[in-house]
Amino acid sequence: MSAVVERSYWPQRILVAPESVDDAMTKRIISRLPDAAVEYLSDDSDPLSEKNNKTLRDSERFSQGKRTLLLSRYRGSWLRTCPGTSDHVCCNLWIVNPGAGCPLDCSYCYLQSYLARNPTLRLYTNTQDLLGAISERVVAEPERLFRIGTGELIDSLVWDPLTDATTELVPFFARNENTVLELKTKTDNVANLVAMKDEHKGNTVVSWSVNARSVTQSEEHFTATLDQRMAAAAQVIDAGYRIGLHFDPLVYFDGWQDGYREAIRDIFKVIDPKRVAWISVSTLRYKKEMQTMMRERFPSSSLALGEQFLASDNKLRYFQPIRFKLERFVWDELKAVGAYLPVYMCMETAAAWREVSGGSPVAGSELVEIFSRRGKPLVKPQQTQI
Amino acid sequence: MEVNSALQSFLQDRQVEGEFRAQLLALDAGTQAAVGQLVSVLAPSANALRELLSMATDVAARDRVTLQDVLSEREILTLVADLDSQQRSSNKKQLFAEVKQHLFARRYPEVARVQSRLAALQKEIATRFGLRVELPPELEGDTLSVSIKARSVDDFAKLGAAMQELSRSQQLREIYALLKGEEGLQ
Repeated sequence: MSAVVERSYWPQRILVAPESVDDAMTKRIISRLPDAAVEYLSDDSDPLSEKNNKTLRDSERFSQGKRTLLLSRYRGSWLRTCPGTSDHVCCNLWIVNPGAGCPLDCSYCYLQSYLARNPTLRLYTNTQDLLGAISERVVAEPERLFRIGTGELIDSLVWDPLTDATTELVPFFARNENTVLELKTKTDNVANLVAMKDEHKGNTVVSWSVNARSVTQSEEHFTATLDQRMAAAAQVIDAGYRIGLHFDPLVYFDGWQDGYREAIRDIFKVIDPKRVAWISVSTLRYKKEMQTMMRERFPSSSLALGEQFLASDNKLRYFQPIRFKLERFVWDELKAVGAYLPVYMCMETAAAWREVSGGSPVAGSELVEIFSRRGKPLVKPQQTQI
Repeated sequence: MEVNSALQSFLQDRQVEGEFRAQLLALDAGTQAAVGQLVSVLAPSANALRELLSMATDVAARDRVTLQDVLSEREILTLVADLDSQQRSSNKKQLFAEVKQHLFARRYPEVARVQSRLAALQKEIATRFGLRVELPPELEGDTLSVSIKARSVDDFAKLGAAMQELSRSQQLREIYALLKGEEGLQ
């Protein structure tokens, strides 16, 4: 028997931690992946962790982790602010992680360093605890707007055909007026969202990471093509959602101007710009220790061979003139589509904001908060405090 | 395979061990010969050679050519092969710096172009206006600084006038444009 929805990236092996055995999500996933081997563990530790497996290289362990899914419960603090990066401007996004690790395989993905020690893909089966933690926080501060994303450590929609997680998240956010949910993805798994066209109440924004076609084709393995992503975006717009776009990471390659101009043109052939809640722009960046992983796992990729230098946040970034060139170009192309488009920069310096946007960074990040409630009663934006 | 003799001497003289030694010994004969020529002329330390080869390896991977191709580029051969031995022995440091600069420019072409142009503009400004313009560290940011030393009120007046003139100069505009990734002004 084959899976309910076929995807080339579905795990071949499912590991179940003891406390997750009876959870509804566990049963749902196992029933939808009848060809996967299921093993029941005696604890919830990652069998591919550095501690448990010292014979393999980091890159080999990480690649093996991509085809194994570990179901466990999460016991930590669910809701937190995006860690951002030092000396760079942050957009004040809150994050919750329904899991960790992604079956898609982008050569530049920062999870290769972030999850290098525990590379097995994880999904947390105690989703009611996740919703409870959000509820507790947002109810306690009704005057504050919480823009909350689930796409930090996983792709927000990649597992949805197996978990139906959005069928809990979207109605939950619809019930909480001072919240906006951002689902960020490189897939076209939008069937559940489209089916909830009468339930989301505009409180869910579905975002796509987008890039020049040459980058999506050569660096974003197992993802939906740009056309498939935009076809999915058109579907959710038809279902009444607003969408977000993340031009991130911008990459400097031969013909980059044509590549990004064409991507923007093609996106807005399909997408009504007035249905765009926000657009972020940022350039390639990654931890220095990830460079070896990238080279070993993606020897044909030239991303690690660009003109990057170690920045003050200990990440390799293009040197400033290249970053500004990329960001200014994409920013201007987007503004040519519509001057009203709410564009912001993710993890960039104050100098970049001044040069590229022509405005101050504080105004920029506040704009994101404001636009996230466009068409709805405005809740006063506040600076993030934990 | 017999190890290139110049490379073999280098490995012994510099007591190169571990991963770097294994990496050098794993090179094919042609690449070993190219590295052998480099070490015999430049006499680098093990770390210095590692730095050169790291840049050259990146260039080879990026341009889909061999390491030997990169190390045999005309610019490098001109530097390491065309001088007579007497000159070589007296100019090793300078030669090393030039080979390194060439490889840096191959590995980081845009950075090298911008750095070179900025240095030329700083020099022009110092000559023409008598002012030393400092760039932001690592070329990150949009703030230039100028430090001045004045022994008298007259000196201040002259420097003030020079600053005024500098503020209208094409050189200053070009520095800002380069830092911001705009094309150099004509």
